[in-house]
Amino acid sequence: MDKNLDRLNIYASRLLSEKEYFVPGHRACQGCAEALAVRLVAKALGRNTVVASATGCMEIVSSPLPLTSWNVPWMHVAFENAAAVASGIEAGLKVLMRKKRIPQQKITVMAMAGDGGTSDIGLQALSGAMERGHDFVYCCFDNEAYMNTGIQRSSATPFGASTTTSPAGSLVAGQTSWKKNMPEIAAAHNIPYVATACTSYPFDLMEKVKKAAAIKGPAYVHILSVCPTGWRLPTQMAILAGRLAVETGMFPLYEVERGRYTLNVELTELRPIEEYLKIQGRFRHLTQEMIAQIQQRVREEYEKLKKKVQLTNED
Amino acid sequence: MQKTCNILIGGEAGQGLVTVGQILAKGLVRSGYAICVTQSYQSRIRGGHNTFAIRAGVDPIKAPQEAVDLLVALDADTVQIHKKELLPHGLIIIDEALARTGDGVFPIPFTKLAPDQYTNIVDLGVIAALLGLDQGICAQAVADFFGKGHRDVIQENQRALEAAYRWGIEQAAAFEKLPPLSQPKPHMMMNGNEAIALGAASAGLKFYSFYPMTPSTSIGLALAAWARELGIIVEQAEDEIAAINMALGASFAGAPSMVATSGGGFALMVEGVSLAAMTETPVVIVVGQRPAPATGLPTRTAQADLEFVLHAGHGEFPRAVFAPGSIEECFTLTQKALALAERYQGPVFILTDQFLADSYRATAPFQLDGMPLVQPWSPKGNVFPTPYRRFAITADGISPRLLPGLTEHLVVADSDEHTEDGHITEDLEVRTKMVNKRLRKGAGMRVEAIPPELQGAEGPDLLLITWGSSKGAVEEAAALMQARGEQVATLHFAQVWPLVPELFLERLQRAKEVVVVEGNATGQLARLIRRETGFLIERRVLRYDGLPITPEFITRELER
Repeated sequence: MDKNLDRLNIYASRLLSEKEYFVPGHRACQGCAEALAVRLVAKALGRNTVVASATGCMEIVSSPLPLTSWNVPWMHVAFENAAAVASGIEAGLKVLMRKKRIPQQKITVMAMAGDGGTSDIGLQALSGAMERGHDFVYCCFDNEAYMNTGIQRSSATPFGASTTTSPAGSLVAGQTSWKKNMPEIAAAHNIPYVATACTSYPFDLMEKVKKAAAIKGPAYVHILSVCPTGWRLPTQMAILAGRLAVETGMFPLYEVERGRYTLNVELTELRPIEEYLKIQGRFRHLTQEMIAQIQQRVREEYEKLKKKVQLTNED
Repeated sequence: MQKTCNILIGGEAGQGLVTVGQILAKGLVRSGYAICVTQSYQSRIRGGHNTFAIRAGVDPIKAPQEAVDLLVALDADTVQIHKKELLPHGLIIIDEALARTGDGVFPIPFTKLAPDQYTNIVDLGVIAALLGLDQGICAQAVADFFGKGHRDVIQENQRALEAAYRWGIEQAAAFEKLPPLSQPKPHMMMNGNEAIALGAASAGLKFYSFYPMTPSTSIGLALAAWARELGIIVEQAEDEIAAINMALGASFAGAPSMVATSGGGFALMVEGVSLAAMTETPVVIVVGQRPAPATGLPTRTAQADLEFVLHAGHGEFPRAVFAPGSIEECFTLTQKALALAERYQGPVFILTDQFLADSYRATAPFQLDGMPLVQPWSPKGNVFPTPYRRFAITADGISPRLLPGLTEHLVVADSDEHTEDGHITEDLEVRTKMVNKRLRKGAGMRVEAIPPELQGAEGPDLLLITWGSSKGAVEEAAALMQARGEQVATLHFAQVWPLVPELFLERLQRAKEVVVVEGNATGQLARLIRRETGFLIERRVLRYDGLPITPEFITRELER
């Protein structure tokens, strides 16, 4: 395994490479944590990386000339196909190395998509790629709705959040279903590595991405990427919101390594969910009753997760 | 030709130019003026150069115009990009801080009129004053737009509007006002997608499923807004494959169903088209065209999916394809599409595009009296030969359609080739009979086909042929030439399939010259006409740069 991993554990930013592979100049909205996430992921993966990117905000903001941000080979693909194209890239590189057309070396193949491109339209391709066991990293940049086309709900939109296709009104209070649990779906494929991450914890995020790339086989990293525009949040509060998502238990940071669960930020007590909800306009309409409902659910899910940690670490 | 005023608002995404545009358009329509809006935006989250153009006048306006009377520049780039389009009497409305003096520059002292965040409202007030709109109507439009917002915000907006309007009146000599209206009639401000949604709802649509895709998404949003009142279910699917198959399921159950998407999403739906044909399940599919292949220019316009839609789906089966050319046609043809899908039990298409989808126009209230609601086709008076056969072979190909669970008879549908009662068969004689039965429905569709609309005299020197949203531009270009004494007529295909030569071929033969005008690179309608009639249209005016066809574009190309 990469030696850098151990050193990163001491959380010293000066140990990080200064090199950037997703460079400034893109046109993401002010305060966009997703662009930051992509930057950190690219930094963690380094130069020997090929990226397959589904349609989404990150494609639009980073690729129009002269504003292109990419310093690694990158292919924009149809909405549902990031994992399938990445499978092809990985297999293509493998066969070229086997036939000695290119030198044997470690090249990381990363597929990336938003929450819609992962949990809705791209789920089938992702499931197929994980099941076939390709050696690739899949990063889901989850901003909890289709932001690029104008804030439509996805299956990763949290319960109660208002979007243009799950509007809060007098009859319905925003999204009516609970957020699809993508990391667990990935873990159910029995792949070697699954992790959740958030830009508010940059070293944790980069360490996980490095680990995902180092492990042979499919690795899935689910990154909560705060979207001030779509979440109706002041632009300077994206990092705070990410922190609160973790500290309230709304988005726990954990890893599943060959079936073994680890909580990376262990909380003895969850902060009240209201602290996270009240700063975001998309939850403005929630009643105390709904907030209590969400609190209940978050607590249950967190307990479930803690049990999994316990069960898988017993030996 | 009537005199119109073309107002072009330009700026970066995120500057609020659509807000200014929409409120101004609403003010114009409520004052009784006709409008035609062209929205042009880049696929960007932020930045890029976007425009919202409103062409306004007294009489109905069918098409956009390139030449600009009022250029409202929210940034300096807009001036650079559009200066060449400005007419000699035109004005450039811009913040005095950004303005360089020059021809037509009309600087506004924004900071003196209102606080920074209200510059858009100041623009609105000044334009309204220059055009001679009533301040009260504009104030109401602003109030309606900001709805139940914070009271302070609304008051600040109104204060900014008033200050700007007053300032504008003092400068009003600078620009010629719109002609006053004698008796304004009430009109609705509506774009193509809203008209499709309303047309479907008024025809009795019961189920609509979609996956977000520009430029079709707003149909679903419009339907969702009235869904509860009208008893329509609107469902956002996880992809387009699910969207069309959900619609097929709903339709099988008896709910008149529709889906909307754009080229890339339609590519995913294609298997469902074939399934609809084989299982004889009604479904209306709206394809909002944009430049392709692949993601192409995702926020711009094209008419390049005619051949795709015409041939989508494996195997041979009948279909109908409508191509509305106006807001009114969006409404009426969607109704017709739903009725046809239910009657002939199969896929029916509506081909629209980004230009028409986003083009607001002043639209007269629709005539709804006596319009029957679409019902799932069922045997008249429930008379059908027993035992019941869902796919009974009939003279017109239409079989008695009972709804599953609502009858004592067994209703089955199969994607495999099937017998009359709907069960899988490898009997090749039955196979042949079934193909013929399904194709016979096409004969009925031909009888019901809408004839292309002729404007102008028979046997002209020049006949301009077009389809879909280019209608208005072609008709206006023809009118310009007619005004110069030229013998020009136009022929618009609001239905592009089935093509019935008896309805139009003679007209092509009698014209001295025929020119096709289309928003694609290969002349897809011209090729289709050649295939179906043998008539070769050699001269083609084609636009495929992502912008809508304008009267000026056509005139320029014809004069080459």
